Amino acid sequence: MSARLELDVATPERVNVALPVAGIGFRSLAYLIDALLLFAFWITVYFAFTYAVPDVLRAVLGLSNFTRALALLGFFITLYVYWTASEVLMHGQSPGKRLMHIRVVRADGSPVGLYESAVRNLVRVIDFLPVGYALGLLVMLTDARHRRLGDLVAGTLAIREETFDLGRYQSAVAGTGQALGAEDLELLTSFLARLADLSPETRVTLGRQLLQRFGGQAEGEAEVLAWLRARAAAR
Amino acid sequence: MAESLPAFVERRRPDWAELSRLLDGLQRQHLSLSDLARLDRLYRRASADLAHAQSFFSGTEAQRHLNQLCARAYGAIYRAHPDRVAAVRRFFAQTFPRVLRANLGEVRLAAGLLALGTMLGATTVVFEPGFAEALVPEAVQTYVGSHRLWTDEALDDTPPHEMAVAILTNNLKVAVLAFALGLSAGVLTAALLLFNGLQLGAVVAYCFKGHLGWGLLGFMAAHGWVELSIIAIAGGAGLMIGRAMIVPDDRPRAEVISQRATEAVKLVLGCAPFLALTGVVEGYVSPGALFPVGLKLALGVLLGAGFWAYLLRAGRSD
Repeated sequence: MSARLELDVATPERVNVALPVAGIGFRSLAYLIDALLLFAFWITVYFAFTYAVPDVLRAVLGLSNFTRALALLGFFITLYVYWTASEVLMHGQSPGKRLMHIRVVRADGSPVGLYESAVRNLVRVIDFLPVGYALGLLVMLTDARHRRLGDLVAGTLAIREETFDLGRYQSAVAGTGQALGAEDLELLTSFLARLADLSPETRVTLGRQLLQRFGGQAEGEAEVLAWLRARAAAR
Repeated sequence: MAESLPAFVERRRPDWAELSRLLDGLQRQHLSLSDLARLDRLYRRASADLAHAQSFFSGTEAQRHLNQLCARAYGAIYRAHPDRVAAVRRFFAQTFPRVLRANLGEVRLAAGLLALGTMLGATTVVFEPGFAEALVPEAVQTYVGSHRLWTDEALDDTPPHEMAVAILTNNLKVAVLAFALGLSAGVLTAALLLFNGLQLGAVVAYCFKGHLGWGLLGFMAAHGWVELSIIAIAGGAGLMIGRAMIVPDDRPRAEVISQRATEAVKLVLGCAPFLALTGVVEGYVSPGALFPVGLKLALGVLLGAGFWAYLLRAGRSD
């Protein structure tokens, strides 16, 4: 496995915490989801409006100066305020980032505050230049931590949040609940090491015997071997 | 002998799950005092578990899980938890004017660039009429050619609401760009300020040549003071970033830049509501002859003086 790109944070508890940096792929997908959400929102507003008002043209031209102005203002707000408001209220995430499990943090690993978020989202206009995030992507490609210009100026970066299934350790330890003795471990690892040389019948019989010895329960050859491997890995 | 990984996970897992639950509660901001004490204890224990896992189970999923849990807890615990309403009030009562006063040099420089551009634009149009065609927008030339001001027209064609919003978005764009372009070491911010001044000066001078100058100044009398001040402040914020890039003192450049940028953005955020105010004035009061010029001028001077009195006096400790 290649070395993972990480942000190292030294906490006052004297433990180093290493956070995996989110790459261009995750970040772009999160942006696309957010853009899609904004787009869907305005499409919905538009269709709800046209559905409720039969004569759209006259309604727009006639009685709705105020609504028109509001719509324009609302559209503008979504351009600038959406990102910062969501990042502040959702602790460094926007809806798209939450779906992609990434989070914007300061250099010390804590979620962004209002000012950092405002900086990185105002500089978005530069990252977007000349079209379609060209400059931002270029900077992300060359930066070791995949930061765009806004992140460089604000001193922030995006990290990935992974989900781990701790339950798998539980199944490995089931039945015994204690560590293997040196002899048992030797027996198990040598069986697993010779697996390729054994005939299929021997493999099954020996596997079942070992399974019984360690008090495991599994059906079928593949399951038995998987259980034994997990047991060996769990020691 | 060291404990096996599954046994370690099995023994400590309930505590980790509880810590994670408490952190969820903390995000929604309702934890009792005893829960907070429990959170503190669990976090310290999880930190110890992480140190243990880093030594004995490095690279396993259990270690990475702990790593993430501790990072989350660290972020949640070592974070100021301000009351949002009070924070907004403090921002406008103290933070914003104080930051502005601390960085008055950059704002002065930005205002100077804007003024220099205006003078250059005006003199160019007066002495070299040939350049006017390049500097003054074509629509303006057409209006002045037919002896009308587009500002009178604006009210008839577009309703005030829309005018206010259109003006607001335009000014906001200039302010945002002036700030964000600061990361060109301030060069493009300076260019933007110069160019905006150049255009303003050219248009005013062009209108005076067409005998419409006083009409235009009448239009600008109510909102111009605050509006130009805001552009200068936003430009000053951009120059703050630029200065951090050029002269980072004796600290790492990246660190100084992000620190100065988070300081500078306070100027932009602070200007936002005042920008909305000028948008409203420019949309409702300035166009047409609904209000006499004297009233517009009085309102404009009052707004401008009030704005600067607020900026220079609010939140002073003496």
